[in-house]
Amino acid sequence: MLDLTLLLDVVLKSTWALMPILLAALGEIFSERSGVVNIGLEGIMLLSALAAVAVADYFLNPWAGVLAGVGMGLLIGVVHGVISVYLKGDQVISGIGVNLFAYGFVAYAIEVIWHVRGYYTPRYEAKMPRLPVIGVSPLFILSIALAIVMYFILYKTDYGLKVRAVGENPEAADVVGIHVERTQFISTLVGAALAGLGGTVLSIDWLAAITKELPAGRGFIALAIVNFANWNPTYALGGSFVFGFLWTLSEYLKNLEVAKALIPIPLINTIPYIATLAITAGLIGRARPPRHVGKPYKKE
Amino acid sequence: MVIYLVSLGRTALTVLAVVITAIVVAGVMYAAVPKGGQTITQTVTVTVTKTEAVTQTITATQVVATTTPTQHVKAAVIIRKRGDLGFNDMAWLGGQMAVKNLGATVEYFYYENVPMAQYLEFLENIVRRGFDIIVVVNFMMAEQVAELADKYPNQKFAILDAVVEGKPNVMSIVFKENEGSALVGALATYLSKSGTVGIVLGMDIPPLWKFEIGYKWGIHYVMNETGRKVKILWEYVGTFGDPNKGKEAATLMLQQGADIVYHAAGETGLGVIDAVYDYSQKTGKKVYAIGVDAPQEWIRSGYVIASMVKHVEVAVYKAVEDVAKGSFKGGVVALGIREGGVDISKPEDIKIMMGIAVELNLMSQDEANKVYNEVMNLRNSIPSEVWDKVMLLREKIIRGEVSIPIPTADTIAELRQRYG
Repeated sequence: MLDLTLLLDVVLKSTWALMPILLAALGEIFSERSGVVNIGLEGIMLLSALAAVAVADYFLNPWAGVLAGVGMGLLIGVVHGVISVYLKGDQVISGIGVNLFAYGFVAYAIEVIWHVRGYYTPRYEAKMPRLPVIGVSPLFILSIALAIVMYFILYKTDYGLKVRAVGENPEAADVVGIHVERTQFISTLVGAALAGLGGTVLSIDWLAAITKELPAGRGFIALAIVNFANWNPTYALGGSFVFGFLWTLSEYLKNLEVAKALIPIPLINTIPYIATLAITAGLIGRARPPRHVGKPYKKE
Repeated sequence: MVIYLVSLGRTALTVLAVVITAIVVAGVMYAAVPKGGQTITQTVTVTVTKTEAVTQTITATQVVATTTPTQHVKAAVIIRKRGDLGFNDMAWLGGQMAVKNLGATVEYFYYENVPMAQYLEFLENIVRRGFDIIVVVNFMMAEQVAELADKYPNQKFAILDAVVEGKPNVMSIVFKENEGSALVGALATYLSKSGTVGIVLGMDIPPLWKFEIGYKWGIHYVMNETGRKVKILWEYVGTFGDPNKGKEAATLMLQQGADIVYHAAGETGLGVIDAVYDYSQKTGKKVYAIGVDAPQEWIRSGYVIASMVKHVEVAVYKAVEDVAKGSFKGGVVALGIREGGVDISKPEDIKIMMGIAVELNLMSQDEANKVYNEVMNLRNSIPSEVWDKVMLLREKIIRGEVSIPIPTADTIAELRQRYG
């Protein structure tokens, strides 16, 4: 039953399910490594998906859409960064705010921009083209590259050391002359921009459509992947792949008559989530969050 | 270089600028590369105007409307809001038909900005304003309607897509989606060249079973007629709100050889239509989607071959008409093909939708004409004998010569065994 071409197909397909989650998770890792939690990933993805469709459809250029998606992420990053880094607000509440705002705003904006309700499908030209031969998205290559680059930045550069130091012990970092607030702010921006890129993937790369709830919980899956990955970008790559693979595989299973007869369909739908949970639970003993994550840093 | 800049720390913001510039440059370079696609120009031959479209439906129903004397009716129609080119716009159309044909006064109320917790208050305020009939086009309000029906026994209600039982003043209008799905199932089977057809469904719940079993029944009907074996691929993706997931499900079916995929999955179904478009582009094969609820051909004109339409306007009109004629009765009314409640999409349906799109400024007249032409081109590519055969099945259903099973929790397992 398990032939090689099928396996290859599942692997190639899982690049789609992997991308948005990986990008959002990478962003969150960079942000949390500096001590700033952003649970507004879902909201950022949704807002960026909207911005990407709007701009790509207007200029008929998907890359303009990518810019807009990343730009929208940055914008939300500025808001979340100012609230949580400079104003010392509660990071969780700010994140929830982003999510709630996104759900309301996007439903409204779809109507204002396109005068349609609920969803909009952009013109063909707005869609990201595929790479020749392998047929994956150019953004997939970018996502993988970003995971590796981020690993190097975090673990092999002075700047990465500073980021991690700020997230572990901001007082000590401050004493040795690191600009704690600035470092946190920049990390928040990078994190939000990456989540924005993830949202862009959803709306003009994987699909060409925007709906009121396009991310469908992927922002929260990304948060789980961050835990699973132990705040390490390369593990996040692995974690997103495992999730994406199982997600795609469960779609396959649902198509098999044998599986359909044996397992209730809703149960098959839960496979990727349960498996990810099991893996996370299995590794949680080793997972150690940055020590100062989620707490605003106040100078004495 | 990026890493070096970051390590400077001070100028870290520059990194972002560099990243963004890199993306811009890459994007512009990519955009500059000539693409393989070609522009298709088309001469506009058909003019779709709203008046033409709306009058057409109205003349169609006029014959029925003038048979008995009617009284003046003041009706309230509760819809989410206009502009979805689907359910809500069709409900509005039903109200307009009542105005034109029955001389009724119709007021529309929009519940879009009403939180669920305030549905009762919202409805009660409408009741207090004194309407002969309140037509609720939102099945989520069933509980509130039931409560108010007890509190105001003289107020007549009609609710669509939900069943409120045991109230003499509530008419529950449901649709026989199994009949409409059987029609598109038959169409898909006649059209399929590969011998494999698919259906992507939302959640595995009883209302969706009607779509599944109806579609499968239609396929089996054609298999018995022609003696040709057709493979059915079906899947419940588990959600109505995840188009990306719908796309994966549909792509899988296309890869397994399906050349026509029907969907009954709400927004998830957008992914089905997108998958069909993508797959056609990538492989050059002719594959099509079948839309649901509204005439969805316009979403990706040229890739949606037909739709299973729920005629919400007929349901709304019927509720008002029954009151006007004094024949209003509480209880469940199921509208099938015979009653005009469900059907396979007709060119007029698309014309009406395009008319509404132009009227609401969703599309320019040119765009609407272009979409309409593309839709009609695809439609006309279907051999007329296929249409004749589908219409024959439609006649048989109307005359009651065949009956399509309505699945329940007790029978679904058996029906799935029988129809694969």
